[in-house]
Amino acid sequence: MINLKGIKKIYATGDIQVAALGGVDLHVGAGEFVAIMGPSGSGKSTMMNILGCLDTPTEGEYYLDGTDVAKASGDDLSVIRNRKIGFVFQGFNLLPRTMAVENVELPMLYAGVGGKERRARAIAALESVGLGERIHHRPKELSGGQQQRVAIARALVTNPSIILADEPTGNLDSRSSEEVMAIFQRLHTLGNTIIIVTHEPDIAEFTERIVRFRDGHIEGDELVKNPRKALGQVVEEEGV
Amino acid sequence: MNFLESIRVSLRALRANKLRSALTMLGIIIGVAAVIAMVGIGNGATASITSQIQGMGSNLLTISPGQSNNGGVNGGAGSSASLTMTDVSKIKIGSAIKAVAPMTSTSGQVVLGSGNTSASINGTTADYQIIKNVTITRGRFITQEDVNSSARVAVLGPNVVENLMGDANADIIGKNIKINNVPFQVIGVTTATGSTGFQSNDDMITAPISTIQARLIGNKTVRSILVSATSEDLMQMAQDEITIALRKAHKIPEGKENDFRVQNQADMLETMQSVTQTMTMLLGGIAGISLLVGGIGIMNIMLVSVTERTREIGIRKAIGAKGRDILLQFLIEAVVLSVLGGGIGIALGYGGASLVGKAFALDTSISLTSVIMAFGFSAAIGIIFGVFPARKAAAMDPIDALRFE
Repeated sequence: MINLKGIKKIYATGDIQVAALGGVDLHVGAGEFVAIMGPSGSGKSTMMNILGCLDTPTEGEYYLDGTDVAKASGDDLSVIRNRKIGFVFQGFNLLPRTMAVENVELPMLYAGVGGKERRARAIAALESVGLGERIHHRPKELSGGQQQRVAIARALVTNPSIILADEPTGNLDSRSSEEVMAIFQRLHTLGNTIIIVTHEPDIAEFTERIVRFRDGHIEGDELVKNPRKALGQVVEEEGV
Repeated sequence: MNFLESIRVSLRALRANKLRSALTMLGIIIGVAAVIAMVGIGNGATASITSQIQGMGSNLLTISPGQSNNGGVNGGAGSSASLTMTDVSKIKIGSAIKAVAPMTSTSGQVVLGSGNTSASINGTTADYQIIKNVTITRGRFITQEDVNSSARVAVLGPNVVENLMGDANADIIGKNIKINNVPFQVIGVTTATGSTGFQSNDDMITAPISTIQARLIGNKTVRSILVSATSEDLMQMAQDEITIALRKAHKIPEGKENDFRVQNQADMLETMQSVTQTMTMLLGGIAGISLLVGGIGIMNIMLVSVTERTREIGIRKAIGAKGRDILLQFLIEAVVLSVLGGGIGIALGYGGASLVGKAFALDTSISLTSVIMAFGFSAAIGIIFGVFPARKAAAMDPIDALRFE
């Protein structure tokens, strides 16, 4: 699924060169639920950008579904992101003044999915995260947890190879956080590959594998023995 | 993403920000409206002047003094007072020439009792009535006898009567008026033509040329000679006859230029039209500049919009929008703004022009060309001034754009 070999990312500021990533090897198989952890400056954000094809490594190979995407650029990266990656961000990043269902339709718009199918799939995705009743709400009219669920619906609506979540609970209270993690866990049981970047150990405990970064290198890579089960009461109450 | 979807996305973005969209359009609306209105008013003025010149008399030829050439110094048109009453008598009425009337004019203070006005005064002969199609409501026009005897008689335009007595229909025939302190007896009042503008008979006093020369001007000059050709086809023949007669009278040797000018109505029309066309172009040009300013306004707002929506651009790119999709979205937004503004501007300009037309009795005509041009121009402005902001948006790096607060 994901295969990284000797990934380096070097930022040049004038004469000084800073290696954000200094040769990272990582393999994530299909259906895994991984947390990437590390303090700020450890290179986990850079890792996230490269995994998400928002950025390309200075050196190294990145095989996503068997194709090397490390050398792709511009519009090719847009296509890869559109087809293979679903993003969930810390700040939700929904389009303001735009209905939930339209936000979820957005990636399919760029994928060239027809209007009717788009709407149907968007509604189905929103229902699967427990927001079937709120498809016409705008982000402002939704709570933080609900907004993040819209973002998750947007990420999974294209059936991506991986769902990448960057601090998905960073802006949420503990209850909403647990709800969101419950959704991720459920998506995982359905066979989705999920990678979460976080600095909160509590959140990482919900996943099955933790990869720790420090100073641009992988410091540790271990399986979580007993992943904590998130309580997704709200979702269940809404009958999903 | 196909083109139709791009349009839908752009329209949604514009609708999400109605006030800004409306204000951005305002620049284009004003620019297009100004172009349409100005060109319409200019065309109306041209039409009005054309009809006024045509209303001055049919088959009219005007002879005016030419240039004086003294020792190689050219004094310019009208610089010599080369026309005299003798010249008038040399132009013979015949198959081509229907009527001949000399003209001299001055202006003066006209007094009747407590009434007081200033008016222009034409000195001419009886034939003037034929040439200019002057009709008389009351009394009579001047006769050859009046001219021969330098009678102090005057025919008044209805506006002059109104200015003197407060009523255009007041009984003024036989009354003595004073023009620059010279007494004249009123013998007739011309019919109101309703025409305005220069040389309208409604505002004039007409008197025998001999009287005007002797009493008011003090010399024997003839400012111009009006000739009426018998038909339009014989205009050229009449013009040739006049030229031959006057060259002979002025003893101009062969090979030397005329010291007079014979102008027909077509020439005058051409001159006046070129003046009004220049005016129209000038007005249109000024309006065009405001259209340009409107276009720059669109660019300005679009640039602000691109910066303000950096995050949106980042989100769109992160989830799969290509540079082309973003470019198209912002370009379409700019074009929609300018074309919509152009449409509203055309409607407003049309309304404005007809309003001005009503207020100033001008027959303003909006030509299809100016509508098409204004519309095409505003669409072009949308594209030209939209490209720069749109390219800026399309070139954004998704990581930076997402991080933008």
